[in-house]
Amino acid sequence: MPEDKLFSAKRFVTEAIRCPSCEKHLDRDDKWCPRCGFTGAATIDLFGDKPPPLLPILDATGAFSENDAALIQREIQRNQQRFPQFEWRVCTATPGVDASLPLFGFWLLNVCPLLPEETVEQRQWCVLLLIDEPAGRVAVATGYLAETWLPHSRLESALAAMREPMLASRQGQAVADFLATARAALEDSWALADKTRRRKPSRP
Amino acid sequence: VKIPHLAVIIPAILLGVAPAMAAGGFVHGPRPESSVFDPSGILSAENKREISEPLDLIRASERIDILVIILPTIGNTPPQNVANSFAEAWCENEIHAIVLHVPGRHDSPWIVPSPSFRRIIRSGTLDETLRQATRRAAAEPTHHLIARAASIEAADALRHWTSGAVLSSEVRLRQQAEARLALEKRRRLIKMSVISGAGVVSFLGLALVWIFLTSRKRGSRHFPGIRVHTRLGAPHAGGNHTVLEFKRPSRP
Repeated sequence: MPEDKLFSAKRFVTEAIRCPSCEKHLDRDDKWCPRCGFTGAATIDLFGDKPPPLLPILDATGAFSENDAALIQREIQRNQQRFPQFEWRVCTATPGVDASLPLFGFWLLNVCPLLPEETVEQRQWCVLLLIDEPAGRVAVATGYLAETWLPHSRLESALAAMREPMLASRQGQAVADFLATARAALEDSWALADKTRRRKPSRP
Repeated sequence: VKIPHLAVIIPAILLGVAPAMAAGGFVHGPRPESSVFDPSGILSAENKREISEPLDLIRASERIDILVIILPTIGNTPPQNVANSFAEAWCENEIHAIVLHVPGRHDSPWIVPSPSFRRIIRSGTLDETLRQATRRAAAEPTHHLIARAASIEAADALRHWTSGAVLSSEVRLRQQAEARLALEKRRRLIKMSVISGAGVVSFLGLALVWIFLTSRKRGSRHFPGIRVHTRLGAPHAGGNHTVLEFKRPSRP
């Protein structure tokens, strides 16, 4: 059961957050990037203000077959059964050769309207997987609540699981592997969180 | 009851047989070949043979020794003592009885079985059986018939007691063995029940632990709540990301 008590993210994770525009390390409450001055408003200029609804599987490029979609759906369900707080979104897109996939993800997560019955908290628990197959890139963007448990290092390993099936043009399997690896990463995070939660915070 | 051969009894008394027995000093000598000891010749030789033959047969075939003692008098010596002294002197078999008949005594005859019967048969039953047997024998009209009847009663009683005693001891042994077996079986059953019970309890305990651990492992997991600080002016996500390039872009 979820606890009412709120913890500081720093208690559980030490990895820094990076600016989606210039990759500089950010503090968790920076209002803009101290290096490039990036704010969320900049993404409106890049991608507009009429984003599509952020469905669980948003296949804009038609990369997934029916079997792929079913496979991905099954893996998403498994992840949600194990970690009900998390929301999983998979999106294929071609934002352009020069466009930044992280910025595109940042834009989708923040600008896409909430789905019916979707809450702000649920959006903050979102893990968005972006696939730009023609450009040979995949990226993950996470909401505020999800980022603590899936920091950069864990997401890297989850994305690495996609490499082989993506090179074999098995997009559905690649996404399923990502979801399964992310689930395993969350198991580790949960064990660590459980251990840390029981431990008294150390005094500075 | 007619007492025959008074001429023989009187000399015997005069010779001091009875006083000697009463004093415990009677010398028995070797056992006579016949099962009837009648030193005074109260019975005729024919009568003695008639009584002795079946007793000899029983003694040889069934090892039941019945000795008929006929004395003219025993003085004040208790008949039991007289009978026992003859038994000690002449009876080799454990299963034996002395039939003592003293023609001059109104309470004669007596049947005195070996002491081992007292250990096997209840005292009341033994005494009652002997009392009735001697009463029946005493009802006979002649000394010969009294002695004969008493010997037959004694033989029957010993046969009955012997077979009964053997049977009852066998039954008792069988019952004891059966009880022992039942007890052993019960102990084994209890032991097996305890072992199997412990096994079942252990198995159930392990199964419960396994179910608990499995359900804990398979159940959903919730992360603790995190205090959200928005950044970069974004409401839902603060730009945390990871990128992987798995091939070079193929587009121009």
